[in-house]
Amino acid sequence: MLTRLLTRFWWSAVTLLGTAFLTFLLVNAVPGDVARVIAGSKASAEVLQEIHLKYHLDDPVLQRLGFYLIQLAHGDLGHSYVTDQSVAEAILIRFPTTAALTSLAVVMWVALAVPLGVLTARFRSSWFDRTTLVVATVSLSLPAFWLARILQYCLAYKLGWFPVGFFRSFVDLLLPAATLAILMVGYYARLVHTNMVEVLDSLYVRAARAKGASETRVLFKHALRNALIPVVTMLGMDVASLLGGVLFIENVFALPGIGNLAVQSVLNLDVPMIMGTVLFSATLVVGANWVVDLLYGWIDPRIKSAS
Amino acid sequence: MPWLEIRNLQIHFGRAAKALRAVDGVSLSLEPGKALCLVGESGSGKSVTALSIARLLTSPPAVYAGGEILLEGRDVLHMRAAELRQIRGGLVSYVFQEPGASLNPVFRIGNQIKEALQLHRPEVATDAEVIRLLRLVGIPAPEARLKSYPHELSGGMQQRVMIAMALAPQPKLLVADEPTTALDVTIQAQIIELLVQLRQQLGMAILLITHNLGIVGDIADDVAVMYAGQIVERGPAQELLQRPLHPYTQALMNSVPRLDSETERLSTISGSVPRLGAFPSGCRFHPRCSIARSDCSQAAPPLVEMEPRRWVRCPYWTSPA
Repeated sequence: MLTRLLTRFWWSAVTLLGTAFLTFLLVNAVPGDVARVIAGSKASAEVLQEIHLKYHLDDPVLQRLGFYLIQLAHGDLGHSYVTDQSVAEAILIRFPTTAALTSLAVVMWVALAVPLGVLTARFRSSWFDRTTLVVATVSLSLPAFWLARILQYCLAYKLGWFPVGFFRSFVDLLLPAATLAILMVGYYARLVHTNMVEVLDSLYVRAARAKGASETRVLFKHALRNALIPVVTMLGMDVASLLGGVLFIENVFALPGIGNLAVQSVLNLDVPMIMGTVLFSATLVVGANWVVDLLYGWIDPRIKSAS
Repeated sequence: MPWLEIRNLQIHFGRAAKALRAVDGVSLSLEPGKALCLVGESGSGKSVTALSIARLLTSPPAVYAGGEILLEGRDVLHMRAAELRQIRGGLVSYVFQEPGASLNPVFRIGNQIKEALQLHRPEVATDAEVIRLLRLVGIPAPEARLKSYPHELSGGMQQRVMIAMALAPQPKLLVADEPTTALDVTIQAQIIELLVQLRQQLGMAILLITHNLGIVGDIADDVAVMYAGQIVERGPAQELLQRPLHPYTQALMNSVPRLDSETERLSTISGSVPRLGAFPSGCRFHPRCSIARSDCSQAAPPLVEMEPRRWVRCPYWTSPA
C-alpha cells in the first residue's frame, strides 16, 4: 500500500514538472516582447532595457526555467509582470467564483443526466430514447461561446429573466451555470445510458427482478451503482478541468474566475501568471485522479481488495 | 387442478414472420413438494421455459406468444406488475447457473439476503434470520460472512448464498436453472445434496433444469426431456431413467459416463442441436435419429401417452433391450 502510494506520488510530481517545463518553453516560444506589453508601445528604449534587466528577460530560456523551478520549490509562484500582484493571491481571489460556477453546474447536469441516462436505457429504442439521443447530440456539439452569447442575449438581455453578467450574488451564476450544464448534460446522459444498457443485461439485474424487487429499486439501486463506476472517472476529470477555469463562459458573462485570469495573462504575455494558472489547473487534475481512485474503492469493493 | 400448470406455452424471440420459436407448445404440471427435472441440451428451450414461470424473460425480444402458466390457478402471463412482484421470490424463487454473476458485486451478501426478506417477510428482516439462512445452506461461520462481498467467496459458497437468498421468502417452488454447471465436480454433488436435503426439510417443490441426466436420479420425482423447443418425453423419474422410450432420451442416457460400463469410448449423439429458427421439418430430431424412417421428415409427431403416465413424441418408439 505504501509503495503504491509512493509510486502515485512520484508520478504526480513528474506530471506537474513536465507541465511546468512544457508550458514555460511554449510561452517563451511566442513572439513578442514582454517589456513592450508591460510598458506600452510608446516606452523608451531605456525603460524597456530596465524591464529586461529586472525580469532577466535576456537570460537563456533554460536558465530562467531553472530559476522559476527553484522559486516554485520554495512555494513561491512569483508576481505578475503587469500588476505586480502575487500570483498565488490572484488565483485564490478568483477561485471561489470558478468553484461556485462549476459546483452549481455539476449539480444541474448530474441531476438531469442520471435520470435521463437510466430511463433511456430502460426504455431503449422508444421514442423517448430517440428524442433524447438527438437532443443530447445537439447539446454536446454546441460551441460554448455561441450558446453562452445566445442565452445571454435572449434570456438576460431581451427577456430580462437573468442578470446579463458580473458576479455580485448567487443569482448571477444561475445563467452561466445553466449554460455550462447544457453543454455537459448530453454527454453524461449518453455515458450513463451506455453503461446502464450493459448493466441491465447482467445476470445480477435478472436476479434482482427474480427476487421481486420493484423496477425503481432494480434500476436505481441494483443497476445504477454498477453503471456509475466509469461515470465517476469522467466526472472527476471534467470537474477538475473546469475548476481550472471555465474559459468561454466566464468571459461572456464577465465573471472574475480563473478562466478569465488565464485568458488575460496569455493576452499580456504575463509569464508568471500563465505558469501559475496552468500549474494550478494541472494540480487539480492530478488531485482529481487521486480522489477518483479513492471513490472507486468505495463504489466498487472489488477494486479495494485488488489493490 | 395442479399447483403449477403450464399449458401449450409458446415463446418467441422477435416479432411476426421472423419470430424464432424458442418454446413451442410446452405443457407441464407440478404438485406442491414435488421435484420435476427438465432435461435437454443447450438451446432446447428448457431455461426459457423455466424463466417464463415468473415472467423473467426480457420482453422484447421475448414474446409470450401463446398458452398459459397457471400458478395456484392464476395466469402469470396476465398478471399486473405488482402481482408479479409478489410471485417473484414470494411463491417462486430462482437459483441461477452462474452464482458469481448473479450476485450483485457491489453489495454485501448479508444485505442481499436481507433485501429478499424485506421484500417478502419484512417482520423477520434481521441479521439473526440471515445468519439462520446462511447456516441452513451450510455456510461455515455465517456471522463472519454477513459483511463479505460476493467476490470474496468461492463459487460453491456463492451458490449457497444464492440458495439462501432464494429460500429467504419461504417460496413454494424453487427453480434451479443449471445450478451446478459452473461449479467444480466435487462441489456439484454437494449442491445437489443440499437441494435434496432442503426439499425434505422445507417441503417446497423443485424445478431443476439440467443437461446432465446423471444428477436427475438423485432428486427428481418426474422428468421431462426437451428437444428443440418441445417436450419429447415425460414420465416418472425412475421409470424413465431405467427404460427411456424416445430415441433422443435413449441417446442421452447412453452419453452419460458410467463407472460400471465396460465400453471404452463414451457414445455421443451425432450432429448438433438445430439452431433456433432452423428446425427440421417433421420430427425435429429425425436428422440425428438412429431409427428415423422416411416419413419422419414429413409429419410432426404429437406427444402421446404411450403407456400409463409415459408420454412420448415418437410413433416408432421402442423399449430398449
